Amino acid sequence: MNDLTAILEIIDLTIGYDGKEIQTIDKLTLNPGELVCLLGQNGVGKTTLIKTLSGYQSRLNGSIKVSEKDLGEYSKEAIARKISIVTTDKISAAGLTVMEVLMSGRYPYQRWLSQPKTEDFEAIEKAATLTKINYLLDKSLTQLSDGQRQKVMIARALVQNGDIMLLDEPTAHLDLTNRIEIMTLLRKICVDQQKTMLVTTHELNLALQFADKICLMDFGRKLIEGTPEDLALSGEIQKIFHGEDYEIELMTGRVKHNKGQNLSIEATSELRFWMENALDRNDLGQFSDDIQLGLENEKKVLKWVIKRGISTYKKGEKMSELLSTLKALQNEPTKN
Amino acid sequence: MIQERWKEKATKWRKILAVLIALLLVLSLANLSIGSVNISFIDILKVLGGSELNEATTAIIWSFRIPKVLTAIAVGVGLGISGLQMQTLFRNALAGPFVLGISSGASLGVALLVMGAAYLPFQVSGVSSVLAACIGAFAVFGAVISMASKIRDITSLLIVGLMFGSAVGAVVSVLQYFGDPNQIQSYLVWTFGSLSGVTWVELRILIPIIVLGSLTVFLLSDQLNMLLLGDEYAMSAGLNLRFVRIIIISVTSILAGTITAFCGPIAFIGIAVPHISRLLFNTSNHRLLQPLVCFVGASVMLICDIISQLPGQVATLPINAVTSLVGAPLIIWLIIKRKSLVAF
Repeated sequence: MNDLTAILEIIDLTIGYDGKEIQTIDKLTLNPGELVCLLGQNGVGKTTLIKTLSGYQSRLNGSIKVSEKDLGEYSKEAIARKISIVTTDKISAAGLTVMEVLMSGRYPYQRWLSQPKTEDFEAIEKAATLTKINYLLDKSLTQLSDGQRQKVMIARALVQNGDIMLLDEPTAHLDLTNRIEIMTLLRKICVDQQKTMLVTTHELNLALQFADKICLMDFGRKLIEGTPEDLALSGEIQKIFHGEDYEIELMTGRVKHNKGQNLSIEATSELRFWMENALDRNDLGQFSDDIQLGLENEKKVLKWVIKRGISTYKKGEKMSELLSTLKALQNEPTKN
Repeated sequence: MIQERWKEKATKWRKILAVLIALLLVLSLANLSIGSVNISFIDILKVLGGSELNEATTAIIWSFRIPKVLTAIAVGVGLGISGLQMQTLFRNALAGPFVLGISSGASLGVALLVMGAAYLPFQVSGVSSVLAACIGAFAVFGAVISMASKIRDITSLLIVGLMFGSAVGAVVSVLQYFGDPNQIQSYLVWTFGSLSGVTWVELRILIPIIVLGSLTVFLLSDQLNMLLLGDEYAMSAGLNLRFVRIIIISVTSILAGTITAFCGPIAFIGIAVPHISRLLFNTSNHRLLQPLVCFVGASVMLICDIISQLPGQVATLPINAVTSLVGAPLIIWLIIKRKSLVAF
């Protein structure tokens, strides 16, 4: 991609607060219409980066360019017309109606104490339609569910009508359906409205599916950016999301404990998946070589079977029936 | 379409405001007629119309009752508005006009004046206690505003204000401990609060200050709404947070400080009136809420004053006790009715 088209460009930016450095970002560019997910552990500086870009915190050093002009050269209103945010803060003073919250997004466009104009209402109507919250306009924020509230805050950011939207963990505290709905909505806004979004998240799976670009932040390392596919195949993502005794299978999003499993399982891939799920959770790994796990069809009922050598050791319809046996077998000394 | 719905609502609010203005007029007239001498509505209207009734009635109305009604309205508006400012600034339902320690400063000024009267080269009078209260209030205000520009997190300012208040209050306690009983009594009488001590001359200072202070924050209605969303949202939408904070703190200090200087530390109204307004009218939008708070504040203050006159010829109750006795049950009743406090 061409640097000339970049809407936001960060070079050698040091972020932190109270003079304490948290992270330095050598280079990060965001292009129009891009959905960029920022991943990294807690405390690595994701939120601080968002707050620095929104101007809420001052940067310690380096350059932030918005449409090729330094952030510091914009007036407060001018930058508000460029960048809007969705934070993790739950608004405590929630007696305002949704309509009033959305109207606050028009603040950088309104003259002092002027009555709202037709264009203000049009912007609100457009954002409300896009986020499907028209039916909530007269409700007060206290009456909304977490998912509805998040949509309202996204709509508010849309009303502000900047090219760039910064969202700090927009899917936190939401259930699975709402998380997917929010990410789908963000993706749609990026594509349809040509907005650029920088989204911090801990949802690796959603990020891999929805992001055009992923940025990885880690302690003491340079920021790495790339498409989800490139970063996954090069192993960069796995480097960030691992602990001493586990790693994450990106294709399934499953956590694999680094104990290794030598139990051979004979089953279809779906059943195998759930079998491994049970083994992983119960920390069942090493078995002596002659133990096998399989499935048998007995009078049209599927049964799990533990085989020892060629003889059947135990059968059971439910996984729970087998787990205690498997635990007992694991503790047996390996026969050579 | 949403634009029409918005306009419909604006019309509805105009009607509500008209009703409130009427209510305020009725309460004012009622207040004028009640006192140690009861004067009929008709007589009051005649006097207000300029016709001369008997000299005593005319004098009572013009020199005592009208200044008191105007004081009650000014106090209700000023404390209601400054309480609202603090609740919005700190996004805290418990905040009130005195959280910054302003009234404690005023109290210290008056306490120093009263207790130190023996050492002063002049006679302690109403004017000097107003001045002492002003000096005390503005000393604390100076300290708070210099802290405000240094502190980033607004909640810290709330704590600092409370600390100022306690420390200054402690000094007042020490003064009381060593003071002589007569002086302590006259200090205590001041703390009961009073609406009747304000003369026409003093009203010429009080009313313009209340009007100017309230108008200033009326102009900031949109900015106050932004503050409700939190500092981060407010700033990202282009709000000059520091400027707005300083104006709000200044206006609150001036309103609360002036009222305390003239009428003593009148409790509770500042916290209660914004809540009563939100609960009654179910809105947090400052464009609506600020005018509502003015009317509700003035009305509540007039009602409290009427209640304080109820013993009739015998005596009047201290206004400070009445405001709490009226306000507390009212808020509890509203909360029970609504099942919760409207979180602004």
